[in-house]
Amino acid sequence: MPRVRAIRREDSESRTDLELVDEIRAGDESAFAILYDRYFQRIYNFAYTRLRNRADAEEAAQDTFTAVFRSIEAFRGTASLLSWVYGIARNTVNNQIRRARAHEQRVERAQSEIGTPGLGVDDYSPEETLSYQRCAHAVEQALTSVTSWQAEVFVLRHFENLPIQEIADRMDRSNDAVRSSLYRVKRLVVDALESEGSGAD
Amino acid sequence: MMTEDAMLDFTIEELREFLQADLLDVPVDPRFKERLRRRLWELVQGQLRHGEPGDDA
Repeated sequence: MPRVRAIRREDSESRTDLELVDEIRAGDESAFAILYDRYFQRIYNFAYTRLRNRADAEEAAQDTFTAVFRSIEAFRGTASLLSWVYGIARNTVNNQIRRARAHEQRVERAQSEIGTPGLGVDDYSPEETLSYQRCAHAVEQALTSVTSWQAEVFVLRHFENLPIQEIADRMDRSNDAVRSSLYRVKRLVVDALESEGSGAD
Repeated sequence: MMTEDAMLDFTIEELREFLQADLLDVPVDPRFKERLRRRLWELVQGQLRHGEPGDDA
């Protein structure tokens, strides 16, 4: 039977962070729920303010809380939990912003390569050129509609030709997560191509 | 892993930014919040199990 207690308001407000951490270590799910509720909105707001995007804010909140609860065993209370959690959130958001910037640079580079006449556009027939441009547009559309890390995975795989394992290592994700992300972006590209195709008919 | 000391290294500006964000009313998808809560609790439970190899099982 799960150890879930009804959370009374006074109960959630009266316990200190450190007490809650101790109770979580003892396996108390209600203490975990109180601590999570105490910090969730603050971290989400902070991430959203910095990233201005719901999907990215959710990713940052998820990464922050995962890091917090993964190391909760090591929390000794020499700093306040707030400053500790905030520090993790700040680092997570900053890393995400850095990754997004790197991704933007890669996409810009890829886009300029796609549109470079020096690639031999003159060697293709008008139909082939049109098809190529449609494909480039579909990729561009797909990359702007997914989270920054998913777009970066796609660019690393298809523009930089890196193996799955290396992408997973670089992005600190599992091979399965990378594969599933690639599948999702590819699906979006295919959908975009199909909708363009049907629109052109 | 990030140490508590390392986490203390932030400026007043950063703290102000964090506290200002705290005052905003940013809508959250409740399904996301609940899904994350469940995943995190599973993570904590997994760690507690690993931390207690001599369980009474």
